[in-house]
Amino acid sequence: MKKLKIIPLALLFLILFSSCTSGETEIKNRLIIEGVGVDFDEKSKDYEVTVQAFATSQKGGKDNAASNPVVNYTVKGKTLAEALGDLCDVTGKKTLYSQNLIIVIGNSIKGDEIIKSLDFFAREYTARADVYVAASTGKASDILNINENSSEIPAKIIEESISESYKNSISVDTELYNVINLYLEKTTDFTMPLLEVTKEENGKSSTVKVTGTYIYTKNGEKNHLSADETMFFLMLTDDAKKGNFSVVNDDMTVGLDIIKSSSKIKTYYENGIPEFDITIKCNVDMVEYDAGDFGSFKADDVEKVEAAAGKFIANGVQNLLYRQLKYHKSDIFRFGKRFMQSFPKAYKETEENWEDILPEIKFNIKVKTNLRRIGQETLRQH
Amino acid sequence: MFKNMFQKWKKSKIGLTQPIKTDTDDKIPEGIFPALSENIITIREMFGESFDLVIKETQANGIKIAFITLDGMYDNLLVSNAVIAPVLDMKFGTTEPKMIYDHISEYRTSECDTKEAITMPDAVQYLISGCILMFVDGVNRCLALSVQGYPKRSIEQPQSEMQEFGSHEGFVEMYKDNVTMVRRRLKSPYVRFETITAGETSKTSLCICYHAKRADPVTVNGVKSRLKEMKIDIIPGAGAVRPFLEAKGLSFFTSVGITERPDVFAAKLSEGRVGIIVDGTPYALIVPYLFIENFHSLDDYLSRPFYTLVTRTIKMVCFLAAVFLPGIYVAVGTFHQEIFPANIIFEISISIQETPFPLFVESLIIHFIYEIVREAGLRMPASMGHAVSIVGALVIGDAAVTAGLISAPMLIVVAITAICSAVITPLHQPSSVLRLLFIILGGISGLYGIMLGFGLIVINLCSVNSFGVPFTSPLSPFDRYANRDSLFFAGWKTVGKRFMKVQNLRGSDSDANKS
Amino acid sequence: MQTRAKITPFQFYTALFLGRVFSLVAYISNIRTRLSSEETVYETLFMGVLLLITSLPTFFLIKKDSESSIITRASCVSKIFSKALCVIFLIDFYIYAIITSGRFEIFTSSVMFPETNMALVLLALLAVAVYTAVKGIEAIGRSSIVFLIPVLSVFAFVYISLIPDFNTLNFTPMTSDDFSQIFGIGVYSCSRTVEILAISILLPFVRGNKKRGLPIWTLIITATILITNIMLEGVLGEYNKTQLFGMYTLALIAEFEFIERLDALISCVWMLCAVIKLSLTFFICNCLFSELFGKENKLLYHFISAAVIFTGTTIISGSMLDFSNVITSATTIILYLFSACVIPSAVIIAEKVKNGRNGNEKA
Repeated sequence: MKKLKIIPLALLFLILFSSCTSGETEIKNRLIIEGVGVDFDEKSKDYEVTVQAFATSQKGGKDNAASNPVVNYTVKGKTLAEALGDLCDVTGKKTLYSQNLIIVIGNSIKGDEIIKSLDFFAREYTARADVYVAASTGKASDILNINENSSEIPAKIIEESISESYKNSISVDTELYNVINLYLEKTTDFTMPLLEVTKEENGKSSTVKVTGTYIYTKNGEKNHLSADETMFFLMLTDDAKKGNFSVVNDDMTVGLDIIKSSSKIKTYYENGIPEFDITIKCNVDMVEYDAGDFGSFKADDVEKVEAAAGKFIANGVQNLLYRQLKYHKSDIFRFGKRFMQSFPKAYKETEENWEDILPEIKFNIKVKTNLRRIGQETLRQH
Repeated sequence: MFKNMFQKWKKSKIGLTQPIKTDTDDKIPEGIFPALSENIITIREMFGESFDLVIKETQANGIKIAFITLDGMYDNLLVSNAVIAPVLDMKFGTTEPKMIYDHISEYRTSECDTKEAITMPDAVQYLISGCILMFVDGVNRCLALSVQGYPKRSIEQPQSEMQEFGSHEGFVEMYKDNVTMVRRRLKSPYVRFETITAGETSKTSLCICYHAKRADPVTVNGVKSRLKEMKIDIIPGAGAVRPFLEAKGLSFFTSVGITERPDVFAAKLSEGRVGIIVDGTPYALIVPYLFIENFHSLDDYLSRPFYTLVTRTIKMVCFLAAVFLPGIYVAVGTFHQEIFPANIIFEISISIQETPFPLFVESLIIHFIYEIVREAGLRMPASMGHAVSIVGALVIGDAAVTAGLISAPMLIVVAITAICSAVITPLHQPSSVLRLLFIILGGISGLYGIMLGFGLIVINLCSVNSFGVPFTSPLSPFDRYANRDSLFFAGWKTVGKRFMKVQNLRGSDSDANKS
Repeated sequence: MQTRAKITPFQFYTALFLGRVFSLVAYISNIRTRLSSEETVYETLFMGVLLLITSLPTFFLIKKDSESSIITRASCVSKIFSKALCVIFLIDFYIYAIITSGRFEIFTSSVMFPETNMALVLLALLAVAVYTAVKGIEAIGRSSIVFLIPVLSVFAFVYISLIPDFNTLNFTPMTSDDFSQIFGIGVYSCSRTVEILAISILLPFVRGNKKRGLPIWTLIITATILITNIMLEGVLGEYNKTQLFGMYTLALIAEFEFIERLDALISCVWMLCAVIKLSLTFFICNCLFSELFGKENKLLYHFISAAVIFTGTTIISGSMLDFSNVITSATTIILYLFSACVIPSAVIIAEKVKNGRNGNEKA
């Protein structure tokens, strides 16, 4: 009797649950999004969204010139949700954002519009919170529509470029949740990698390059960092992984690779002005030495190189701080947060006019560089 | 209302099922007749026209004697030398039947094992068991002489439990030979072998084995009572006895162990378990049996502990893969595509784009085909093996994928599942069924259905007690000492320091009684 | 209550731990309560202290007699008293179970199956929980041990894989000396620990030293919540305050090499915690019903409990607004304080009064 009772219950279970599967969530019925580009059309006041998705209807993907064939769609709408909703009508498939690697924000989207355009991805349950967010010097659609050797570059390659650029301290890598985290900090301006379409010399093909760092400013001002400035920025914020720079002096030109970099920032508060002691420690390897014959690098030159490198970094950091804090009044270094952590009550009094305090902030920069290796060439004692 | 309808339906079906007609229902005379001719007539009537009934009437010392046996069941040489010749050569001073009977019983048949049958059913039972019956005219008893010499299989390597370092002896069909193999491995007078008969028609001998100083008396008595209460007509194999020893309640996993190896059997007995050797089958049953023992093999105890850890881990992973991998693949492909790494999802989506069936249906079809091929491989004659291999490999493997009927990733999943299920042979049957269930759950409700199903299975396992011992011991309830030989084996130097009895595991009834 | 099946204290407290972990993962962040990181840490520590204090009546109950449940001891004082306690506890556990199921339904409809009829998923969960409860306390206890392994493994994996993303700069300090929010939220967090109520009822089913386990269990719960909050603050920062289920978002971000999107994994192991929590609830309700109406219709009691919880959940989780309007922090705080502190204290006092009277009569 007990066994008989189980059979109808099991059947009921199966019948009830059969409505859960409608087939539309199957992988073959999904439009798997790899990249999204968001632009704003000033004339029609619509969002123009470019979506890069897997072209799974193409057979024999491996036989194609590109190993990862994609197809781009462009949709429009008053909001991102409306535009992306039209995508289902265009393709007949349900969108899947879980494989989305990058969101590119076009230069037509400024100020708070950037945050509004990201709200959809923060809310969508299939979307990833750690998707890269990047800014474009031009239109986002140009980034995703780039052609190289007649096959389209997928967003994956762009994502890998950003990742490599970050590792080489050319640009930052910012994920969606970090963007929102930094945006919600009242005093901080967040950064994003900056993408640019560059035409080759032959004029026939174009590539996407990561050229530096885009800075979101609350006042909508245009602000960005070059690749060199990004390196100093990452060193200052203790985020630099690798990188390279050259030190040019009267008597030598040295190419150096950053192996390891760390920074410590101590916060002080005197006479109503925050003060920061910045100490940067950097281990470098020599990759090129243009000041004599082969094997001419001497032990005495080590200190010279270290001093020159330290001075180079210190000058770079100082210039960066000056430009951002005094000129642009942009706190991309989270000094406000550090000040808040060390002097919460003082911060509370100053948080509303933090922008005005920024130019007054004092710095003491110390850089300690250590030349770790000089490559395969010998080190002469004298 | 439904209960009444069901009861009416049940009553209408009663007439269709006949009760088991047993031999004892027929009218067999209870006692043995003093007249020899009547005994011969009775036995002839019972066996009818059976060609193998051999009745040899003769005279010894002036008294009629009859030898009754079944052709093929006796050892010719033994019968001639130990039974016929001594009896026929007998020169005894009296012709008193009773005295002649006693003389033969005490002095003439001393070379073979002699039993006395007082009733006809007992005599027939001995006859069927291969004994030769000797009736003396004028005596209402008969002698049953153990002269069995029927053809039997020699001791060979076990077929189902291959071991690298273990002995090459496996159980055989004769339970007495099996008992001998176990006795050679457990040289203790406290190891008991008690036989009972089960099966109304087959009258199969079941030998209950246990170590009197180590086994829990409650378990021993429990086994005995369950076996005695068995209502079964014939026992074709050990598997027929298993259900009567299993724990109450439905479960996919059996709580009765089975082994073909005497060394394993002896080791289990030494841990306080009770074994049942079934006559006519080379498999022995063991209770209590724990779930973790499905992943244990003899080689684990004969190899280095670090290697045992690796092999047991592989077995557990294989079991999980055999049961869950197809269901998880279907669930992820249907509902949770975000789990696929970016590198893989493109390849998978390309592969399944052109297949006509949903992933769920495709998975069910291919797994059914696999089960068909597996069953065919098990049952078919060896001469047909090549044809099935070709059909299985080429048609299903290659042609179906090329034609776009099934996707390549699904085939890979099935292949991995098949290999993994072959690694853990004791769990082969439940894993086959569970696999299909989890495919259904995964296809209907995704990973969450699979997780609920997993929870159900675990809860079911945890609620099973095998003769008072929790089935999921020693993992849950956690027993620190017993876990030296569960997920890993700590080595004989560690394990040998403290002796473990299965009924002393945490959570068992005897453990509860102590506290 | 006469019992035959018993579990060890380790199994018992593991089942309670898994039940509390469920509440932790399903915690719905309320953006109105904008606690800074420092305040969150203080709130968690305060919650731990409060948990220890509010578990004292239960501790003294165990200390005096660790084999009898609170209902049995109340029945020694007065039959009416024990019946009233049964009714109060039934209402308590039903409310908590409806909150549990409601959170489950909101979670599944927000992040798991937004388009699917959640009633079916809830039905399946309740069916599994009923099955577990029918199997008995041994099945619940033993399966808790088994489920603990994947739960701890997934949590540890998520936390360890997020260590590179941990940034101390994401922590926000307290900017004022106002501790009222900390106390308020601490009390609310403490009140979500319904497991304290379960301890006094399930005592006869546990064999071993239960006294020692209680403070250890509260410390482990506090430590788990503290680590979770620290990870939420350190990895997500301000983003945590915008997300409905912070723990889920954390798992979303966690990745290790090619293994990404651990949210599905955490949802799965979290469902196992839901099964244990609900099955314990069903088991306790069954015990309470048996005390009130006898032991003959155990299966019926389970179905009644399942029907009540299903109906209640369907009503309150129709929308986020319904849920937050019905399940206010005041509801759980009052329930908890009354059931975890007042009732056990009342039983202890009533026993002492009765023993005093009996002593006087003898004298």
